Amino acid sequence: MKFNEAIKEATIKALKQNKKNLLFGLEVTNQGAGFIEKFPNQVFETPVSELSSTGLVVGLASRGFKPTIVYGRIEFALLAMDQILTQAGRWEYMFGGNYPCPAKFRIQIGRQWGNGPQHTANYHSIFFQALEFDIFIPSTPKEAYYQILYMSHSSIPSIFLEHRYLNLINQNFKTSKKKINIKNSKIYGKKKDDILIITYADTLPITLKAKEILEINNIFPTIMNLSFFPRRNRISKKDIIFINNFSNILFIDSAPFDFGILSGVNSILSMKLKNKNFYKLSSKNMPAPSSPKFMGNYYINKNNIINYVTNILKKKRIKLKKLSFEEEILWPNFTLK
Amino acid sequence: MKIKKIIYKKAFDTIIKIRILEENISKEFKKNKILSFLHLSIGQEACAAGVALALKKEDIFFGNHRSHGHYLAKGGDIKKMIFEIFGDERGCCRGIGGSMHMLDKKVNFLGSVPILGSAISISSGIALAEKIKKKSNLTVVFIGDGAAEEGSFYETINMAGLYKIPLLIVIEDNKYAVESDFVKRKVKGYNLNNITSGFNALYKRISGQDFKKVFKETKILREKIIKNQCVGVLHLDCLRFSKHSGAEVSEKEQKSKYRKNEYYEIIKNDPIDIIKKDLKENGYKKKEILNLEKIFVSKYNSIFSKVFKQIKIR
Repeated sequence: MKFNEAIKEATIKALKQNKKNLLFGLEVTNQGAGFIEKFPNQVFETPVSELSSTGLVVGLASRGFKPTIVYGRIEFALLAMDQILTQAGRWEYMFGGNYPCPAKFRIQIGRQWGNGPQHTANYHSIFFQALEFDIFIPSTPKEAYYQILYMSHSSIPSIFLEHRYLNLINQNFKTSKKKINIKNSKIYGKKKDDILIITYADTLPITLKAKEILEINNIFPTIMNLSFFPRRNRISKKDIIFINNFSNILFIDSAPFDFGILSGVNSILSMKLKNKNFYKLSSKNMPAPSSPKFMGNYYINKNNIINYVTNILKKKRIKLKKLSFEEEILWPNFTLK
Repeated sequence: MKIKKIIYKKAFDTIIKIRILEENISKEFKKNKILSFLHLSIGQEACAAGVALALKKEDIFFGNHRSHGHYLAKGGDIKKMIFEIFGDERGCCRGIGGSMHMLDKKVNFLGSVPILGSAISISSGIALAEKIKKKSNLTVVFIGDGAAEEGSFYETINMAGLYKIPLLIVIEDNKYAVESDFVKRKVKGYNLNNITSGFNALYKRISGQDFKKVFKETKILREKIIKNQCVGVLHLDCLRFSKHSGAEVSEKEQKSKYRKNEYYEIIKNDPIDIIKKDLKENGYKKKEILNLEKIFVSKYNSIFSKVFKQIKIR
């Protein structure tokens, strides 16, 4: 199942499971999308009025429904920030509790295939300061599938940051009928490797590809991919204990690092753990360009990771092939192991 | 439409309830007992009373930053409101929300939020929830003339019309957004009747100082909105006696500040004087009216005093 298929399948399952799960957004009622045909009373096309359609969703959520609203780009969701942050994000607290507002915001975010400065922003960290949201940033189809289902049951307002860049990533997994159990992170590797790479979202596929090449050259990195950030503890104690097994910790981010998610994780770890060497590799502190020529220099890639890891570990530089256009610019298209 | 005698009495009670409780709150605000914004509706009481008394218990209210009056008119718990405004845990939002967050689900007052325009679309969601549950009640949202300038107002009228949501938007037009006069904020020829009719919504503009007019038009609009499953806008011209935020102001301040030209209009159109005339025209004797006023004033002064004694500010 591909990343976008996993989101669709889980959404259909959620709509089927509970009539109070509703879906709103531009083009969600398109014939062939698979929603309106099966759930005509639960799926609503919205006007191009992000602020008010989001307010509508907040009102519905306050009355016992679990509506999800989809935004085609985060830049459009910015038009609705009053309702997302100030209303849904404060609702239960400001009304003294016992008044849930489980609105779900599915926001497409980050790089695509060249949508330039106004369609590629990585504003993940805005939501981390909003405090009352569960935040989901899946990297794999399996994570996306179970996170959507988890959200559909949850009474907490939720932000689902969806990287379309991952849409073609494939993963074979069995869909469970049992209780949905999601994890804050997934570990790729062992707990005594040479270096720990902490990443999230769309950076996972290239980091996994870099890991394959490093291992062929006897360098063994472990990857911790963060994907669920609960409202009370954005990073779990269990994860911090695991991270403590490593002395070299590299943060890899497709967003600008400074004051972003991983910058926040770095700050927590710096206060809790001693004798650690922290490194970072990220996009530049500037907006993303449209042109493929400039994008190649803007986003980090597989070769950047390999070179940086060998440099940190003072290993011999690995001879690398120049990246193809597909590898460097287009959406990753392979099956996760 | 003939309004029953008892309704006038209830309206008199409601208007005095709002006036007296807010005057008491205002006095304590001056003594630094409330460390938050305080938006009083003194002068605008007939809007809340007229709408509330015209509707049914199952109808829903949602308010804004200036909603003590709406909450009280809907029958919200008085003690919990006073506790809330003074930040006491016994308040309707456990003292967390404060003056701008009124809530009493028992009487279908489902909340108030102070961000201009937010309440409008939230209310459309509340109304849609009721529609999906196949209820035949009305959701009412109160906004000011400033909030009606927000994009959310225009977006929601379109969206609620599209989804056939029964929603009544009450605009309390006191001519000021904070302290900015409407002539500074609206294009010449700005016309809400034209705007709302372009969205196929119902629209009526009347004086909000006059209880009986508000009551009658609300009744008519309710029936039409429920029947046609559409949006209605009730535009009430009203007069805010107090400042945008904070305690009520003295006559001297009223005259010397931004209200200079309106001052005499304000005095002339006190909703209490208007309802007293209505009571007289509907069979109540002068002495009877004064006696009722005395009873209501005393009742609400006493309630405030009893609750306030229980509050420890810090």
